[in-house]
Amino acid sequence: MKKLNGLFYFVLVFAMLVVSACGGGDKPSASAGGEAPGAKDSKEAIKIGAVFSLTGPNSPLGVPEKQAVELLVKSINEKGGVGNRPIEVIIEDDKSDNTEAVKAMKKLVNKEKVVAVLGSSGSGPSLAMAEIASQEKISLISMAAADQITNPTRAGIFKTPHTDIHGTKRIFKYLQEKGITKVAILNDSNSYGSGWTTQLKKYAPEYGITLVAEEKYGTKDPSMSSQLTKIKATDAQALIVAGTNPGPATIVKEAKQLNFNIPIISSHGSANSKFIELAGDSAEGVLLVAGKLLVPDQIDQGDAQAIVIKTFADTYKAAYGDYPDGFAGYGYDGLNILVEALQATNSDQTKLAEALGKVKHVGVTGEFSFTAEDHNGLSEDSMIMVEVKNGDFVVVN
Amino acid sequence: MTEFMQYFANGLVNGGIYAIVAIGFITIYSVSKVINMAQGEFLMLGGMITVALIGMELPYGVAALVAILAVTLLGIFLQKYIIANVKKANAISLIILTIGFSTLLQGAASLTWGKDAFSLPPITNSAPLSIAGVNIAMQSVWILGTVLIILVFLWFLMSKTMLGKKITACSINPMAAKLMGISPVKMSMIAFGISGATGAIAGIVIAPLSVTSYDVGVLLGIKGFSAAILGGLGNPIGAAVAAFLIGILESFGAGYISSGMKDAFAFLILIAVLIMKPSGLFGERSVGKGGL
Repeated sequence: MKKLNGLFYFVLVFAMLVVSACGGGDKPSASAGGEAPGAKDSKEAIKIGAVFSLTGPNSPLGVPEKQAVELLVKSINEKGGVGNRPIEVIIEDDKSDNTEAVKAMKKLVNKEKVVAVLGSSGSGPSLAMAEIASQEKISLISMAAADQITNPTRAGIFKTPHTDIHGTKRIFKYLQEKGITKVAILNDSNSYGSGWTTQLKKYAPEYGITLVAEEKYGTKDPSMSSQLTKIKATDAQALIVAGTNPGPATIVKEAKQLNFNIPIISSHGSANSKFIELAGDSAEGVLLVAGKLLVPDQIDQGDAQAIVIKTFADTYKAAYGDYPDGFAGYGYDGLNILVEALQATNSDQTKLAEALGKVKHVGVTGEFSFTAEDHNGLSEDSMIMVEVKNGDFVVVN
Repeated sequence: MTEFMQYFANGLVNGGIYAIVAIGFITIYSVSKVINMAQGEFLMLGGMITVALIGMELPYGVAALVAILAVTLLGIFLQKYIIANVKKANAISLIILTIGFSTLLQGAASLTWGKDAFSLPPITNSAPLSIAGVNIAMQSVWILGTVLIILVFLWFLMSKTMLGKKITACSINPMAAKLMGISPVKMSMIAFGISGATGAIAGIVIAPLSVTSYDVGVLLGIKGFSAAILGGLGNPIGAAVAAFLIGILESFGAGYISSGMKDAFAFLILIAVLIMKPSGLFGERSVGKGGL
């Protein structure tokens, strides 16, 4: 009996530790840029809700999203707001947790009476929030990756980031140009990597590409050299890696040690400066698919996005000291799209979903063009291929 | 054949990593009958402190040495102020204490250095070793060398020195050892210190192979623990052999069957062995009474 008790406490304490570790730090929700002195006397502010993952594992996504949104709120209000009314964005933290996201969503809708909601950063919380949004008939713009958020489409529910489908098509297009037909893939076994695996398999025949090896690795694995050994023995002409850092960085390091001599192409999940920092010299020559925001200085002047990207990148850098990453861009585009729809409807919440469905917006992520079948509105052409040269990303033409 | 040898070499390196962790578990367990669940965090701290110190422009060697020293002291601290203070508690409570300590260390590390991953430059920055088409990173050679040195050192300490004999005496019969004037508490402290030092060394030599971050110790801790159990808790050589076995099986499993199932192979073998021989591959029948 005594032994049983001991075991029971062991399990109990362990469970508590896991729960507390997942919970992350508590932070009161912050409201951003709502003051807008002077404007308040004339007209009441338009309340917009936002749920971002400011703590927990998704915090590297949520924090830049929040920063971009705060920056944009300030600039919109300085220019007189929307239809002469200032906007106020009420930001909640979902702690990277589905239940917390639902709670935050309900609070924003029922208590704060917001006109629409932005968020969240992760796919799980976004999908949970989309359910509520549908029930409450409130518009939602998500910054998360999963295709299921907008597929099938639901009234008023949109998302701004590129999907794995865009990435897949862009990489295959590049391979087609280079005449490469035999490809190996090595993807993270988490939901991000498996999403990529599904799309790569689905679209390969369309581009005349054969997948000669399909390997996986665990997010926390210290070594992927066995998978690379297996791939090296095949007749693959290129290797596609889909995962978020540090996995891809470890893979390119080990590939170099194994004298790997075929090109490696990594997904947009790893396309940030951290990749180069972690992989060091081994990153040289690695190709990545990414949004144009990754290289704000190298966008062709003829590109419709060039000015938008440059403006955003410069303001963001002036405010926070660093160029924005893709996530900041998703938040920035999300609020811009919403503001456009608010302007079109004169902030009438009942017409918002319909107006959002017609938005055409040149954003920093890409050129959005929403239709009845497409609530993501992006095409693979808004992504670019970059190569790591001398420790920097350089656009490949 | 080249692939076969390459899988073997990869497995050997991974096995070496697990072996250093497993030896850390054994060193503490054999003296104090405590499974130190913070063993993985010793590794993490070894790597992270070295990265942090190099960031402060300290030379590599000095940074590594300071990190090893710091983690050794932390091990002694854990024994002296936490484990020894609750001497009357049963083994399970002590294990839970070490789990708590490991969570504390992880939390402190993520607060200090953030949740990002960091890379540590390789100890020697030369081209990989290539023997008959099999490529081995120089860092892997360092890892295997370190395992060997630690094993030889522990063997020498335990069987050729007076201190080793005292530690062994405490592990066989603490009461009798006490009557002979040996302090089991002191021996246990030394064991925690050794375990901290080997953990930190492991963390430093493996970090350059991939990356290091605040949570890198979790998976390595589990793998090392599995190896320690498979080897039959209490026998460093057995644990090392079991660790290499797990590493090599994983590598072949990933190479010839499915890389998605990589972790499953090692744990399937572990479960199978434990069903057939609950004391582990090289364990004695009496082992396990103390804790689990």
